[in-house]
Amino acid sequence: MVFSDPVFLVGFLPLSFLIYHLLRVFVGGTAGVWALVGLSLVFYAYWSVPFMLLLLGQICVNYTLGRQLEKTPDRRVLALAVLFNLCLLGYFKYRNFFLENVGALVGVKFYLTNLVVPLGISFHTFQQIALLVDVRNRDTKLPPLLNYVLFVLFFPQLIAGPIVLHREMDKQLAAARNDQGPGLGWFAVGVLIFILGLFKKVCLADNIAHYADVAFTPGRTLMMPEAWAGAVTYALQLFFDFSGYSEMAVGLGLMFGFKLPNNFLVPYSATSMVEFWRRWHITMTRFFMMYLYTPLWLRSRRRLRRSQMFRNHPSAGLEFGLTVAIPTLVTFFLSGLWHGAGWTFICFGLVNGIGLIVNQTWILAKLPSLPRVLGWLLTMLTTLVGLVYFRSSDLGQAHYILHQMFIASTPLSVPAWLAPMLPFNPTVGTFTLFSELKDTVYCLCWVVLLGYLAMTLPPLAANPEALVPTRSKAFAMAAMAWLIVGLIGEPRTFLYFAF
Amino acid sequence: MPTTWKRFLFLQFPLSALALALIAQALAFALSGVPMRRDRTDDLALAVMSDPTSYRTVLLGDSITRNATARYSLGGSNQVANLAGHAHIGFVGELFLLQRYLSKHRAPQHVVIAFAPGMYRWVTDTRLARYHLWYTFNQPDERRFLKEYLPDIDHRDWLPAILDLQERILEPFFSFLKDRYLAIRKAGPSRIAAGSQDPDPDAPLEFDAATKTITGDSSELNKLDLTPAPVNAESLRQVCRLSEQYGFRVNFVWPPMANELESALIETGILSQLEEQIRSILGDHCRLETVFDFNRIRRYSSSSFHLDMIHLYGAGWEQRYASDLREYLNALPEGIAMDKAGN
Repeated sequence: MVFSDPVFLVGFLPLSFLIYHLLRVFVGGTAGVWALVGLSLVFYAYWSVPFMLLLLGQICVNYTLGRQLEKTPDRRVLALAVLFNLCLLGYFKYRNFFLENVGALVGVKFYLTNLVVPLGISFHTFQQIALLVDVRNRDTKLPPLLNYVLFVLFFPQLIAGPIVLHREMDKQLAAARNDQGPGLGWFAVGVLIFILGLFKKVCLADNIAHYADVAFTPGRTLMMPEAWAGAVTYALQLFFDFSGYSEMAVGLGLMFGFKLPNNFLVPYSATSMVEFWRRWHITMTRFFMMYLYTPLWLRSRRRLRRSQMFRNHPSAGLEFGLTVAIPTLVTFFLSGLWHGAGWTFICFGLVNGIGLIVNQTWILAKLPSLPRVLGWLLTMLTTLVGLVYFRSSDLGQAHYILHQMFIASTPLSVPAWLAPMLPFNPTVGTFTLFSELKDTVYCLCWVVLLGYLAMTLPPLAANPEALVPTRSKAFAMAAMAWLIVGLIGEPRTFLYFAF
Repeated sequence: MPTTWKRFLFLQFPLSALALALIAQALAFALSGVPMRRDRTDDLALAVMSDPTSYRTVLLGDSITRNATARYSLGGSNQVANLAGHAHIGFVGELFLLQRYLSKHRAPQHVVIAFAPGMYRWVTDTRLARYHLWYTFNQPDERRFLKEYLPDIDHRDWLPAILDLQERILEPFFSFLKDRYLAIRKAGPSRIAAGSQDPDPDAPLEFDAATKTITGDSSELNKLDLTPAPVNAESLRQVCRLSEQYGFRVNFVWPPMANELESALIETGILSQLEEQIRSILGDHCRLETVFDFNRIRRYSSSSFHLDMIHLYGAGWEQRYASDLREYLNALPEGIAMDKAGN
């Protein structure tokens, strides 16, 4: 079920809201939590019952291992738990990719069936791994089974995050069960944030998607402006799609009395790669920083400090390479792979990793700060290159689009409609996106409008409690609601559902 | 829930929504009489009534012909009225354009219908038909015809304007602005002739390197059904009735097709079957002898077309087709046309 699907909006959501709050008020918090678990299972089973059972099985195994870890924080049990989760993820998501590449290396062609990847597996698997690591490190206690199940299954964040840490939900779940939660206290704020998210998805992301879809059609010939338009429109589509989804998740959480973490903080206004990754998909970055980058960094630093050779000949370059550059590259390589089983995703990760290393080098070398505009341009350029890999169906397509963006293989040509308006005789190119003036104007208008909104729309989900109800907010919410109702049609799935 | 948020949710929000809906309704009402000027078809639908020239020939067709003739001339200044449109206005849009033309001009001697075979079967989806036909052709008899043959076309008319902002407010508003702009510029009546450049039949050619497949196997092709859709069949009958009323001759042509596709259509008998069906639709009133085939003049391989296998690839191919079309139109025999009253 997609959040922008009318079945969800007019059926599942109001019904689940009523069931939860009625049970919570008239029977008790625990009954409400049970109801939320049941509703979340229905939500997932609507897509696939067998995968819902698989998810329940994964939860059972993880909970059993978690109890074991709680008793004895044995590294081997943790390793087993992590291995179990990664094997599950690897089988469904990476099996074909792995075998294809092994086959290519040894010259054998495997005939592989396409496996359906369980929806949201990357998200809920990471969430559970994080909890098990925290339990083993005594950073958190394993919650009661019911709380654990809801922590994993809670439907607003089940499919595409935000990736929630248990310590964020622990007290909220306990309070909900003890009838001490906010109840309906955050309902109106939740509705406001949900409508903003839905507006971003239905009215902005889905409407600009056409340009990116055309530009990224395999085999499509693109002129330089079209390649740029494709990359820029996709960057905007992805931001509004995923930040819209994340806000809807936060809004839904608030409607049920739970506060989920914010995922985006105006990322396209970042003036450096470090800042960009503090603002983009925050919960995923946090996960990788906490559970991969930091342990890698600590371990390599400890080893380096212990090394006799390094103590005799300390080198800032070597230290930077081993403690910052390599952990960053490894982290972003795996973060790329987390997004999808393909070389394009790995390249996406590596482009961002390299961008971050350059940024860190600049900071550590104490080079003069770049002007903000230049910093912003370089950040956006790196992001765009990464996103071209992210969206392309294969490396060939990504390299073709990047080639068209940066190296004009044909002389500078103009669309047919522009040629008669120019005082000289230009080369007329075969444009697909901009074959007509109208298309060019629409595309430009969308890019300008969405670019402006991406830079200025406040991240309401960042601090929902601080929001103050005003007449202008009511007016904006009404306008967005009308636009959503007017435009909502065939639900288009969220881009991050694929990951 | 705090009282301020209660007031926000249950008072300010619904009142704002109501206010917005009322404002939108008032705007839509004020803009309801504005003729649309959103695209080339809208402009054509208006120009067809304002162009003072009575042309010898009227050309109806789809985007293959429209693309090739938008820039290139098809003859002298009063020779050809170019009413070719595209798939989404289809036969019915072309019929309306012809009706509008005939209501204001002396009848032509010839009407040439240049639609690809697939277009006879094709009916655009309701959403696009609403966009391209319902708002462009809004005269009572046109809307009556549309409602009869595309019954769902008015399915959004009941919606309040706030839920149909694009079609009820934004587009009429921009059409209104364009209308005012043209009035200020004192632009003369638009012309419906073809383009002004002479087509060069020897212009350099471009070829699309992308691999294209026509169909699957031959059994799949045999299942292909090109029987004209009811709305298209009725539009053809209407054109035929108009030809009886106004005394022009109706000529059918096949525009360029990929050679591989045409051969397959001929070998399977689908093309001749379609010609037979057109004949039976027209009956005895406006007889169809042969369909002139531009693929007999020159070969168009699949690389002469875009990836869609429909539209010609690049100006070289378009100029060749435009040049052939011009020759064909010039060679049409002279006849006697009646005036606009049909006398």
